[in-house]
Amino acid sequence: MKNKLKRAVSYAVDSLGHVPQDVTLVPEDFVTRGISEADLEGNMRPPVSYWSDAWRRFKKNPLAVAALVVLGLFVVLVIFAPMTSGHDAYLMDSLVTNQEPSGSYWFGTDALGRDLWTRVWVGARVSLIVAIACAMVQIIVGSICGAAMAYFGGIVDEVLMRIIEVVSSVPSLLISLLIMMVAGNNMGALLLAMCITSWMDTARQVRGLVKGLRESDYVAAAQCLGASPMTIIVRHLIPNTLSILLLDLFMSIPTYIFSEASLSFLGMGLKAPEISLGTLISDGQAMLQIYPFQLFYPALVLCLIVLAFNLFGDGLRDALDPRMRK
Amino acid sequence: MVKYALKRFATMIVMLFIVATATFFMLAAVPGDALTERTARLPEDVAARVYARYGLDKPAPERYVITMRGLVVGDFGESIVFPGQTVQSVIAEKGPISLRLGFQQVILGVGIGLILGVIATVRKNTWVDYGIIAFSILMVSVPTLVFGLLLQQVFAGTLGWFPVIGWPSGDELMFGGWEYTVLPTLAGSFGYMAMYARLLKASMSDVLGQDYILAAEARGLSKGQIVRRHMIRNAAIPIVTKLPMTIAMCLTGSFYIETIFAIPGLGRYYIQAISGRDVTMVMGFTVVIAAMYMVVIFLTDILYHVVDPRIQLAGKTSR
Amino acid sequence: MSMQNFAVSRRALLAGSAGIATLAGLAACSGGGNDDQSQGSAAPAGDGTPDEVQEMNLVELNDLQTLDVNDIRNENEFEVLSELNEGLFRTFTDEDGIDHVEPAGCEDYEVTDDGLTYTFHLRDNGWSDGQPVTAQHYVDSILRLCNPDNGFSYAFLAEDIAGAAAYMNGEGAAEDIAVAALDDKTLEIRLANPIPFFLAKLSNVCFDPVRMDLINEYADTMSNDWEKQVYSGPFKITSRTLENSIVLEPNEHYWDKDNVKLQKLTYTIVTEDATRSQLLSSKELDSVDCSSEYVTQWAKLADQGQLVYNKKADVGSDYLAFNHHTGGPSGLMNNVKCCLAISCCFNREDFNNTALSGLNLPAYGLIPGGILSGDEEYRSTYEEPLHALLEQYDTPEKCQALFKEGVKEVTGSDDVSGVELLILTQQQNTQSKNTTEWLAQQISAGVGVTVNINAQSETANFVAERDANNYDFYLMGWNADFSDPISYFDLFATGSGYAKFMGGYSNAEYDEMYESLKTMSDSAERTAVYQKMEQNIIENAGIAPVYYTVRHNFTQSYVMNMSFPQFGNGLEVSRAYISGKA
Repeated sequence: MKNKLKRAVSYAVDSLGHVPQDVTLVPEDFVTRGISEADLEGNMRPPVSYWSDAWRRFKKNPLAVAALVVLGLFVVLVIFAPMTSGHDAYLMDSLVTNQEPSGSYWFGTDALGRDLWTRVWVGARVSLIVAIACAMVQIIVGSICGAAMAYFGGIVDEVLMRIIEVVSSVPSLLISLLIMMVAGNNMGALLLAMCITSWMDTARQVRGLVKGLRESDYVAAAQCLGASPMTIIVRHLIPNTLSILLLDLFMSIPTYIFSEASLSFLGMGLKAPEISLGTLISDGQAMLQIYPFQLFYPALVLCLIVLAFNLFGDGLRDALDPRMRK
Repeated sequence: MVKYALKRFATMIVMLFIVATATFFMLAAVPGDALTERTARLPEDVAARVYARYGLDKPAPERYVITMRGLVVGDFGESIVFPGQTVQSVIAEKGPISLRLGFQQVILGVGIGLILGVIATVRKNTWVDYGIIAFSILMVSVPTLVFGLLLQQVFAGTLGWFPVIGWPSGDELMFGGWEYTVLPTLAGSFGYMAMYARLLKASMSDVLGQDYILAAEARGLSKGQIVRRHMIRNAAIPIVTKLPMTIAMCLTGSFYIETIFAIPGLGRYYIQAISGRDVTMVMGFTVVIAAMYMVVIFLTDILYHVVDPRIQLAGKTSR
Repeated sequence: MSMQNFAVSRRALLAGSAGIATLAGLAACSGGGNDDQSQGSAAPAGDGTPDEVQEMNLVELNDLQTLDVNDIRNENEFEVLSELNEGLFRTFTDEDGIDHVEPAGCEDYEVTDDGLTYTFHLRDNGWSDGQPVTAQHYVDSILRLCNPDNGFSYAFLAEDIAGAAAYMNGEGAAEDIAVAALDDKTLEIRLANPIPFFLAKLSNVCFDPVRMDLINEYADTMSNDWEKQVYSGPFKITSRTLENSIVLEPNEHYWDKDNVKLQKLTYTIVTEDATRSQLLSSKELDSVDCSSEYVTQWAKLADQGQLVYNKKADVGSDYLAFNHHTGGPSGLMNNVKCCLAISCCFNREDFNNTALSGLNLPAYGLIPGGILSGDEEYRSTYEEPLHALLEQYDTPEKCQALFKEGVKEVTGSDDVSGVELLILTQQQNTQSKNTTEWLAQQISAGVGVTVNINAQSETANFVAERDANNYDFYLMGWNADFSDPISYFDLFATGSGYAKFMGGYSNAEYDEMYESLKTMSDSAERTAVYQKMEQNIIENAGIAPVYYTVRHNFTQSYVMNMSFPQFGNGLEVSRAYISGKA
């Protein structure tokens, strides 16, 4: 489409023949030949960058847009909601234990009389931070390893590839549990336990992609100009894999929210008094029949966050996938 | 092909060796052991004798050599927590149960998932499509434990349609006793459903955009012919190649579903063995699972080659 | 129930362990509130005639780790193994929940006047493979239990038998243990000291007879293989699925098989209370204990008559164990004032109501109700010593002042702003999390310093932290193995094998009193010493009592003749039957 337009314009200029030096041209001096103004209007579409094109396609997907709005809402909620109820997330009150949701306690209270509304949002904040941190680690480690494997090839590629195969052949739950057991229940161990297996998928994807790019002409050109491997990785390879990474980032966040919750069910998640959606749900499920609201609200928030991230990620993939450009 | 298979096999042995070594030393680094609780109330010298009896008094490198020597001849050793039990005996007892549960989940989940995937593709960008995608994602957004407990409460407790817990045994082990299997199967199948619905939708959409479909249309092939000759085969590639891994992984069991419905499968046993520090059992299971994984990867590569001959076998091509 | 009681044994039993039972009910009343009555308002569903189908379903939290009676360790093993094996005695409870120890493997027995030699006359009982049970099987069991090479956890129960302690320490020989089979049906045991509660100990499952012929043949592989095991009790195992279920059916060679009416008894591992709740409503679970909020839920079912709610004082005492080994990371735990301030600064009623859903009893002493000293219920002889201290330090200001004094004694400065205390916990479930969080927050407010939580989810990690002394205090519980306060006082003598679990309290005066007990057989004298020891440990803040446990059992109303003994096996079902389930 773009080429067609260029051809049309250049044809118009050519048709004027030689242009004298001292003549100042104004648009009115040009006459369109061979192609009508109306044709141009009809066939032309405003030139768009990759990102704005993606954004345009993204907007067409109502689910994804709704998910984005919900995500925005959640970000606001996890930041501000804990301040709105006037209750502290950790302070116990033996007079109001296990209260049903009410005007004062919007999500009710837990067994120690703590406000669940505040706890749910504080927990959601922790869950999100843990998930985003893990996703970032995954992306950064994965892309560096993947890029290095593809770029250097040879022994580096071989060794890393074998490591990936060995680690992925062992059940990831075993690895996570063992790490939590060795390192104890703390945030660092939790991040390590959840990231240790996930970076590999990213690395494999990036490796595949970069291998394709490595053969491309502009990388060859950069090498000829004496760019260091690091410069090439940072300047050329990573930006080119950005859409894959972005997708990975959003698709893996809900997975992390889930893994954190699973580890909490096994008692291997965050330790008291820290809270996350996982710990709240595992506490709530024990009370399923008696105080269902203690399970319902944290589970609902978890579901909505995971759903929103998944739908957003889905929409993002459709939007970013160049093959879908039609 | 034979040479290729042999080479893969050799690599596999080396990798299994690495897996076993890594697992062993990870387990050795974990604080406590299978006898910690058991010897808690004993005087020190008596406790030391118990350790000696199970060979846990030896330093880790020595135990490592003993363990690896056993692995080579396929003897994983006896369980420390349940003396007399071996990896083989536990797999023989619990394997069929996890196998049936996993299979039922996969068949139900993948079946419905594929149907939903086709509908979503056909009705692309309509509310049907969005509805299916939103539904399948919603179902995986509920933690398995919560979902299982809810199913149990509603369909077994309140409505009383199904038994609360249990699993068929004896003659009904592999066939029959369906009422016990409905809820656990359902609880675990939504994950596969969502995964395969989205996978199929993505691969069908991919195929739709390919030039050869356009070319086929241009040659005047009917829609049915196009679907049969081109779309199914090509869209099936990611599905067919993903299935073996799905099946392999479902055999290792599901801890939560087995716990909720009191199903004597491998998943719960494995987790219990880890937290009970039953080193021999954990080692044995891990090596078996890893071996299964590697075999499946190998088969998948072969399968890739079969469904799409353009794809070269990994490791066979030079870069 | 047609249990035979002989005059001789009855009298003797009353002097020994049966006393436990007769006074158990009384015990709980005075111990801490009027809570031990059976609360089920419903009348039994059936008219008492057994149903056609005699099947019972029970649940466990974990699978049994052994079927070996000598190697018994956990509560679930006590429950199942005591249905599979017959010891010298078996405990039943009557309608009022009072324990009766009945002769089981023995018909009767005699004790010499010096209280040292016991002679048991055995009944004609049979193993599930048809062999008769002989006195030698009991002798073998005791010798095997004491063998230090085996490292059995409950071996310490045999230490009063002459020669046993030396053998267990590796000094003596098995032949010197004073147990003998006089003939096939007569067993003789001689004690080193005339302790009054020997029969209470001997009722433990770990003394049940064993078959050395099979043990020698199969060695270790037998301990978990139900097909190789033989059973001397009312039931035998007919199928087992590891980490899932165990099915029991009657042992046709059992001496009292006519009174064993259940044809099938299934134990399944069900961990979630939510699932247990479904099973109770659908009558797929016949009897279960509960220690969570579900008590309130099931109590409603009991009010409707479907369940019978049995609530009675357990014999568990939970307390804060202060780190006396090193003084803890804060270095303050060897200071009496600091520990006492912590002990006095929180409200035990509030703790029980909030963190424990009001299910247990607040504790102000070490010994719970229901424990006997001689014939007397110990708790009723002596007011809990912490009450007086709580009156003295009844406001936060006083506790904080006391704590500051303690800190000043240790550091020389009364600035407590930098002081941090560390509470260790094994974070297993919501309740253990709640109790720790409650204690941390309330103690922090009570003594005015920061309290941090060191939470470990795995037992092994918890043990590692504990052994590394990485705590100032933690909540520890102890359930008596038999009915005598010594079961608790054993824990705090200097050099006790339990020191590493219990904070390592060490006090010369306490040790002196503990030593004096070893040769004291008069129960009134012993009671007086016990009182002084309890006062000693509470006033010196060796521990801070927190609560006594209460047992909440729910049983379907169609289940007849169940027993809920306080010691050993908590759920005695061998003579139970189903009536009117339909």
